[in-house]
This record gives sequence, structure tokens and C-alpha cells, in this order.
Amino acid sequence: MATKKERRALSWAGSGLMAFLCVVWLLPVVVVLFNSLKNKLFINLEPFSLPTEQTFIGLENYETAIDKYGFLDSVGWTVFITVGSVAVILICTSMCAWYITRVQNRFTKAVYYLCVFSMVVPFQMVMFTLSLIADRLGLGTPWGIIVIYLGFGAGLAVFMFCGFVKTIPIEIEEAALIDGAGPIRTFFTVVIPIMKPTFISVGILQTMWIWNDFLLPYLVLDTTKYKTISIVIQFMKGSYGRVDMGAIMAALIMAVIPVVVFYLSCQKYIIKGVAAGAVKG
Amino acid sequence: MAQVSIKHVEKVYPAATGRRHKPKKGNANLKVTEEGVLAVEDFNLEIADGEFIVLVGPSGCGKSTMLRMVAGLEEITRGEIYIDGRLVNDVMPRDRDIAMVFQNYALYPHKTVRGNMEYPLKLRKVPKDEMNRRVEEAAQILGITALLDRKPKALSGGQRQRVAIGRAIVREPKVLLMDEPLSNLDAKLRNQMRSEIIKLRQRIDTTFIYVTHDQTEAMTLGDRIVVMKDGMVQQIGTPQEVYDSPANVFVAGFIGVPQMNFYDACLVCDGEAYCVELDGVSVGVSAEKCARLAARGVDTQDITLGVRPENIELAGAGDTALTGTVETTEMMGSAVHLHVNVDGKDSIIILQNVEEDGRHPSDIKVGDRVSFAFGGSVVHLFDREAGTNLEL
Repeated sequence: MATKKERRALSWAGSGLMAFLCVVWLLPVVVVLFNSLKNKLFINLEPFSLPTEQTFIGLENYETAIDKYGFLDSVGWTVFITVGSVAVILICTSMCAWYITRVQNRFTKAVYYLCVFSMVVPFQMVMFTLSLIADRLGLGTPWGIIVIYLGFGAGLAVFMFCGFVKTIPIEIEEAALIDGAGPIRTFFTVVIPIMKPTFISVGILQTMWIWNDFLLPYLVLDTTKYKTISIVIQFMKGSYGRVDMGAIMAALIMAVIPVVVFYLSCQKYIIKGVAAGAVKG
Repeated sequence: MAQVSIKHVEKVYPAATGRRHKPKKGNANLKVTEEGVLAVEDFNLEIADGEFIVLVGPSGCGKSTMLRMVAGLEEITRGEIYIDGRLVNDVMPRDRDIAMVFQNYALYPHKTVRGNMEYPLKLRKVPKDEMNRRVEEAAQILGITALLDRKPKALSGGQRQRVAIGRAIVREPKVLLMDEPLSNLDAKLRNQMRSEIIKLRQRIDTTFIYVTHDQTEAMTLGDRIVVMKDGMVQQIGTPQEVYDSPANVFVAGFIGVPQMNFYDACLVCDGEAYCVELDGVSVGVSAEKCARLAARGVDTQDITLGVRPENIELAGAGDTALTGTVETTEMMGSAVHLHVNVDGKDSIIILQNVEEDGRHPSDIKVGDRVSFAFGGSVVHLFDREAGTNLEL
């Protein structure tokens, strides 16, 4: 048995370790933030130093990213793709999960296992055939990529929604049926409001993934017309090894701010949604 | 209000889904046919306008399945259900003009009490004024006016059940279905809600079909009760009829608390007179019962004898009586329940908790030998093999 003193020492050691890990985790973001305020010539020379009077250039890198590289256009496309994909994923997968859970037969079981299996298949394994098929089907547009994101996002979303729907007593839906609601109305006026915590957590997880995704839009989209934020940042590395590090740092900060704010404002729902269904409520 | 006619209704869960509906432990007697598991078999019942019918039976006997078929939540395999003369076999639940109260309340958790009660009216496009009037009226009847703006999670079990009933009655349905509505409540609240349902019944004009496994609820609430077992109707009658003249051993054992005592005995016929012999004790059957037995041509035979605990009395010295050892005594306040072991079988005797002939029930201790007797007018005589009542 550890004494009180030993337990306190262990607690301090644990806290110290966690604090160190936090610093290690946050350091790259802080370095990017500082470098985004420095002249690009100094970024490679003194990447870890704080901005000085000599190196500090204010928001010039941000202006360059916006004016020269069309950053705002890419924000527009990223927002469109993210919002569209997340909305489609939420509606389609929640309906699918509701059907799978309530109508139990071999078909729905097969669909469920297919969705779960899709979570363990790495993207790199299917990316070649996928980009080929997307090209043939004309899905290389921001509208088309939403369909592809639906396919990739369905696995986790269906899995999470199924877990939650199982905890909703079927009698609530039967009560709605007797009260006069058809299946569609029951879904939208009864099931979705009950699923709100899971709805939000699935939405957040999908938003963060789609917002930050690089590989899929890079492979599928016609990048001469449509660039997402991650593609624009990649394009800041010009040909012949020319890299505008200042603009890249500024763009990275601008790209990460919305998703961090979004996450922080909704993180309580993630925990709620992921935990939902774990125990009988 | 509406008449409900249930004719030859059967429910079979098909073999393909048989695994889900496999008879559970305890109701292994459900029939399994080539079609699947027979959950309800040849159910026939005529329910009059405004009648309060209670379906009662042990878990898995098919009573909830029957109710769900009336509600339209379960498909009918065979037979016909009429509500107010209209065949409703293929009518959607919302078009049957019924309302249902579920065991687990089934309230919409995201809506307030008012929202829950308004929901069925909104779906029927009832004008706002009329909707408010009906909700206020139902809330007043059920005493939940102060709770109208609360969400279900802020209510107690009893309050939730009231809201569930409120949501059902605002619709002013022709038939109100209740599926074990009091099962989730504690004993005290259950008694309170039971009397409130009796009052509610007097205040609203509708036909009730009520499902319960609690025979006390069945006896106190129902105009008539339907006793079910293994998907089959065992007896339909008023509570008094079912209590006084149970159709078979199952009904006799199920209705009445504590349950009826059963003994292996012999019915001896001597012309038009009958007596029961058990363990060397002979009990003459009352003239009324003898007449019924004679009318049915019942002869001397082995029988199962049933006697209700409240019809047994302690015997005095010299009386012809059964003797056994007291195994446990249960002090119930106004009465004392004795569990007496007679040749390895448990007999229950209810004694009023008052002093009689200088003896008080509390004087009887575990291990005491007691003699008890019963009269010939209180015995129930069942066929040993079939279990049916020989008088009916």
C-alpha cells in the first residue's frame, strides 16, 4: 500500500507527464502561429524563435495567402463540400441505421456488417479504383464528391446511429404510429429529436474529417477549377522547389481556426453521443 | 365508445423469424406448428360499448400480442377484428380511432407534457382552440395541469403514466388500449393509480381493453376478465364468476391471492349425493354442487380438489380434519397466513387476526401441529386429467 505522501508524489508525476505531453502536442501549432507572423525568409532559418522586430511582418502572410493563392475561394468550396457532405451523411445514414435496427432480416444485417467492414478498409487501398470510377461517372465536382464522402462516412455514422437507435424504446415509435404519424413523420419529428446527441457528435466527427481531408479531393476533384483548403496549401509549394512558407503558415492557421472553434463549442456532444447507448438510460 | 368484435383471431410468428419468437423458458407450452410459433389461438370475444375488459395471464400468454393486434401494431394471421362494425384487419393503427397507453409510458422525451398531449391532435389538424380545450380538460381530469410545461424527464413515474393516459384520452378515442400501464410503478403508486383509472373510467365514455398480469388489477378494474394461458383463452367472465367458478385448475390457481390450495382426492358418487375423500377425511359436497354434478352425470373418480385459503378454518378437538405442521407464518396485519405442510404438500390457511375461542392466530408458532377443515360448499372439483371444473 502506497503512503499518502507516495500517492501525492505519483499524482504530481502523472500531472507533470500530462502537462509535458500537452506542450509536445501543442508546440507545432504554436510554432506555425509564430511563423505565420514572420517574414518567410526567416521561417527556415529560425523556425523555433519568437517573432522579433526584424522578423515580424504582421498579417502580410495572411494577405498573401488570400490575395495571391485564392484562399477565400478554397474556403468557399471547402465549406460547400463539408456542409453538403455532412448533411447528406447525417440524413442518409441515420435513416439507414433506423431501418437496419428496426427491420431485422438478412439484408439489413448484411448492410450493417458491410458498413462496419468499410471502417477497417484503408483509403489507400481503394483510392486508385475510386478515382478512376469517380472520373468515369463524372463525380469530379464539389457536388459529386459529396456522394463519395457519403460512401466513406457511412461506416462510422451507421455504426454510431445503430448503437443509439437500439436504445430508443420501440414503443415511442409505436405511440407515434397510433397518434397518427407515418414513418417519415415519425422519423423527422420523433426519432431525429431523440437522436440529437448522436446526430451532433457524428456531425462533428465527419466535419473535422472532411474539412481537413486532402487526399480524396486531390484525387477526385478537377483541381484546375475547384480547390479545397488543403489543396490550396499544397499548391503553395510551387514548381522547382519554390515554397512560400509564410503563406503556408498563415493558411494553416486560417484553416485550423474554424474547426477548432467548432470542436470546442460542440465537444460535450461528442462525449454524449459516443457514450450514448453504452448503458441503458 | 365502440363495440369490439374479435372473431377466431390467431397469431403465428412465422418459422423464418421463429428464433426471435421461440417460446421462452416458462411458456414452453406455446404450440409450434409448421407455420411457426402459435402465440394466440382461436381468440373470440365480443366487447360491448363502454365495457372495461381486462386480459389477464402470466408472462408470455399472448395477452399483449392480442392487444397489439387490436391496435394494429401486430399483423393478424387469421381471424377478424371489428371496431364499431368495421373490419379493421388491414386498417392502419392511426385510422382505427384507438389510443394506447404503454407499460413504459412511451412519452416523447423531447416534448413537454403539453407537446406530448397535443401531438396526436396536431396530426389530426384539430383547431388550436379546440386543442387547448381538450388538453386543459384532460390535464384537469388527471391532475397534471401544473406539469404541462415540464419535460417527461422532470416527472415521477406516476406523473409520467398520467401524461401517457392524458395523451391517449385527448384523442377521445373509441377504444382505449392499456398495456400493463401500472407495472412500472411501485406498490403504493400502483394502488393509487388503479383507483384513478376506476374514476377515469367513470368520467370518459370509451371502451377499455386493459392488459395485466396482476390478478388484483384484473379483479378490481374489469367488468369482465379474460384469463389467458399459452395463447389460449381459459375463461371469460365477470370477476365474481371467475373467482367463484373457475373453469379449470389454471384459472383457479391464477385468480385469488394467496392462490387456491390443491389436493389429490377422490370424488365418491352415492346416487345423487357426492362426497370428497382425501387422506381418510370425508367431506360432503353441498346440495347445490351435488345437483350440478348429477346434472352433468359425474361419476366416482379421482379429482383435483381446490379450496381457497380463506375458506379453511382451524378445526376443534374431535373434528374430522386434515393435520399438518406449520412451516411459516406471515403476519399481514388484518390476517395471518399459515403455510402448513400436509404430507409434503404446502397448504395455505388465512386466519383473521382476532381471538377466537380463546385462541389467537399469533399463538401459533412454526413447528406446531394444526388441524384444519373446510365445508362442502366451498370446494372446487376438477377433473384430475383434464383439469376442467366438473361443475361447469
